[in-house]
Amino acid sequence: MQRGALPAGVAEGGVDARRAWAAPWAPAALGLALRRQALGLATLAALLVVWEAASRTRLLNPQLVPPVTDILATFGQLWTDRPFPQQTFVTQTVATLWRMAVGYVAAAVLGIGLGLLMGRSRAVADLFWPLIEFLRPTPPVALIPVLLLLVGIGDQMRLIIIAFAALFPILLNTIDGVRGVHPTLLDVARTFRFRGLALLRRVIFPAALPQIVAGLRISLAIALIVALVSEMVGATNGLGYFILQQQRGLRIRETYAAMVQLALVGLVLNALFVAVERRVLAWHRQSTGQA
Amino acid sequence: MVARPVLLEVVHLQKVYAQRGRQTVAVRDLHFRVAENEFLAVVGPSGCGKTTMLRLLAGLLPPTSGQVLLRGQPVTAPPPEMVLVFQDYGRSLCAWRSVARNVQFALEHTRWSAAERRARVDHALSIVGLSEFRDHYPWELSGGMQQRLQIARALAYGPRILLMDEPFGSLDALTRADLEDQLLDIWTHEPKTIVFVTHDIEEAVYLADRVLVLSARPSVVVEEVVIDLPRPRDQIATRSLEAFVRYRNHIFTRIRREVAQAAAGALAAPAVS
Amino acid sequence: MRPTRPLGYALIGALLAGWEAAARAGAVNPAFLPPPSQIAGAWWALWASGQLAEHLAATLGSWAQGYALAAVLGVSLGLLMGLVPAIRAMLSTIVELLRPMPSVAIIPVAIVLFGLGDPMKRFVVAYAALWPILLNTLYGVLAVDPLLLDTARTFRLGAVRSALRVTLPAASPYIATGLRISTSIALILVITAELVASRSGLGYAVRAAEQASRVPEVYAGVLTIAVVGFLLNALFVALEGRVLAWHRGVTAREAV
Repeated sequence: MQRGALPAGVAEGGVDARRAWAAPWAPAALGLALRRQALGLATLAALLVVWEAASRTRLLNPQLVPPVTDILATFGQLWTDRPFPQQTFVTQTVATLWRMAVGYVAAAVLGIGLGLLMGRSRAVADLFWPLIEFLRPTPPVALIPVLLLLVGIGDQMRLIIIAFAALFPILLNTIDGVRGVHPTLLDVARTFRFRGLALLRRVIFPAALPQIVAGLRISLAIALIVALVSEMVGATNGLGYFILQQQRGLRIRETYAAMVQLALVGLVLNALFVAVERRVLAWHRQSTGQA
Repeated sequence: MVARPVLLEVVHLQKVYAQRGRQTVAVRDLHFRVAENEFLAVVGPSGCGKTTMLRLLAGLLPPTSGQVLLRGQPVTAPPPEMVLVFQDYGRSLCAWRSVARNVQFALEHTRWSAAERRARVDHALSIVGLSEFRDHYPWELSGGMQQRLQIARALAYGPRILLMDEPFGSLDALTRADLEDQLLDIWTHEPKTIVFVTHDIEEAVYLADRVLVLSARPSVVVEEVVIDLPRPRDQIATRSLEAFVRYRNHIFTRIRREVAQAAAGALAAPAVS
Repeated sequence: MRPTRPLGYALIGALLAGWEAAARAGAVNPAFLPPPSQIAGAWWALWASGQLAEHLAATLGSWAQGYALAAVLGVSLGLLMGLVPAIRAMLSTIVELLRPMPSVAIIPVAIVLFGLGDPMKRFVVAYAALWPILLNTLYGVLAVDPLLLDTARTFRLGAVRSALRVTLPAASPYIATGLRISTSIALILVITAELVASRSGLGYAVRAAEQASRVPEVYAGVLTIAVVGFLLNALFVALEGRVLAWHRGVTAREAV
């Protein structure tokens, strides 16, 4: 099982055997990774060149599929002030990320709190479960029109919908994580007189953390998606608003450039999350043998 | 044997699990005493409710009837003087804490000052020979080292009674012999009462002052064997003694009879409920 | 999970009753939050007129076609990438770059390419649903026990037959996970596309009702979408339970 992933000889050697063992391999692994990436990058480059050529030679309609270089040039312009003053990627991205962050943090606090409670208490879980079962498969974006009626077109609607959408993966993963804490560990904690809040904070929460973080990760992607959709409906800033405006104004290159920017935002957010996860869950990654 | 005061008294202990209307008797009627600083081993056929018994003793599980008396007082919650050491060391350690912080874990709800706690952690780690691994994580240690860490954690807590649930059951033979001797060493230098559950008859005879033989589930004590072997014990010398072999064979025969009877009983009445 | 949670259902009932009472008593403005009874009436009127069925069909049609396309593409690409290291190496960079992009970003570009009609919706759904299926299939193939493949080799199964008879079934729990995740993602995308830019479907109907202030119809539409989401999910769970019964048995035994 999990322990089995640890090479027996390494473990018996104790000490830093594991780290020392890994070190000489690192450069080789890096080289291998680069070589593997090289083929991937070459494929990507080839694809982009074909795209560029097809668009330049009008094999693909450049009105619909502009050349890659044009899209990249526009992408560069949009990071500066041209051609839309006050509407650079910087301001739009900040607007989107801010909304997303507020909704996401609210979802995390509520999801982890309620999840710990529902994971520990059968009664609380039974009380909320049917409601969750029904709400969870509802596509969250469908609630946007309702929220438009209830709270209007302001940012409140956006924050609520982001938090709502991001809540469920965090909540369900937290419940699962808490229920997955091994009974032996709970017995140990009780033997050493952990009770109530101390038990929750010092034993259950850390033991469930890998699952909770998995939920947080799923929710991050969902929060970004829902933030964008909420901005496509009646917002006056944000990347979701911006990209739809470009399409409606038939500014095709800008539409593509905005999509590139969104891919970049997704990539960076994901990389940031992975970096934080690596730090917080270093013990877990290594204890389960995922190098 | 020198008469020692009784520390732990198990009085007609019974545990019945009720699940979906079906009742499973895990422990039928356990009745025995453990003396101060005694090393008591408990053996029995597998699945005889040994783990349930230990959890009852540790106050982790309420009995259906009967009681556990510690110095005459009934045990209803985990008593501060008692620590349970589990077979499954991997799951009983905190994977997110370093070795030293895993030992520290035992002391977080005690009255000792920070300095005393540090001293206790250091001392416990040195007893089991893990001092130089204090900043490692459990998953960086071998199985034997992880089990030593669990023992260090228990020792740091300073219990009068150590309950051990097949602690060396999943270790290889050499590591196992090594840890058996370490445990005897610790017990000699810091006397305490040990209730040691195992399915290994030789291990029980080698370690204990007295061996309780349990029946197949639902458990009762079917025999009590006082082990009159010289101490300190030695893996080769002790195990070669004629008396050792006699004890082992006797207990072995007794348990085999229990298993055979249980099988016959199960055939006669398939639904034990 | 236990099958019956009377308290939880009572909670839902109480919430609905409280809502009804509050709306009737004027504690909340019924212009924005009409009582459930009125919403039920509006739902029935929409259903009886045939409008609801029409929008429902449009939404489910785009959903099913896009999803089916994603399933076929995702499983076959995932199998190829998993089995052929060269293909995996070639495509992995592109996959890694595109995967973190929020899928709704494709909608404006899809409108540029396909206009506002059904092909746009199909494309958007297929694009978004592709990634979970592709990646889970890939992980599933990579996680197949080498012992199993060796066994296949000793029985002299050819590469293609071993892929179809051994790899695919062994990876099926992963594939099922990808398919399950994608059902809900596909639904989110089709509703979003309809909300933002379309002339048909439940998302469009709800948005149109909201802009025309036909408030009970908004709620009736959203309720329909919620039920669709619930049923699709339930349907998938039931199917998965049947198809993967062997897997549950295995994992349950391991969990003991």
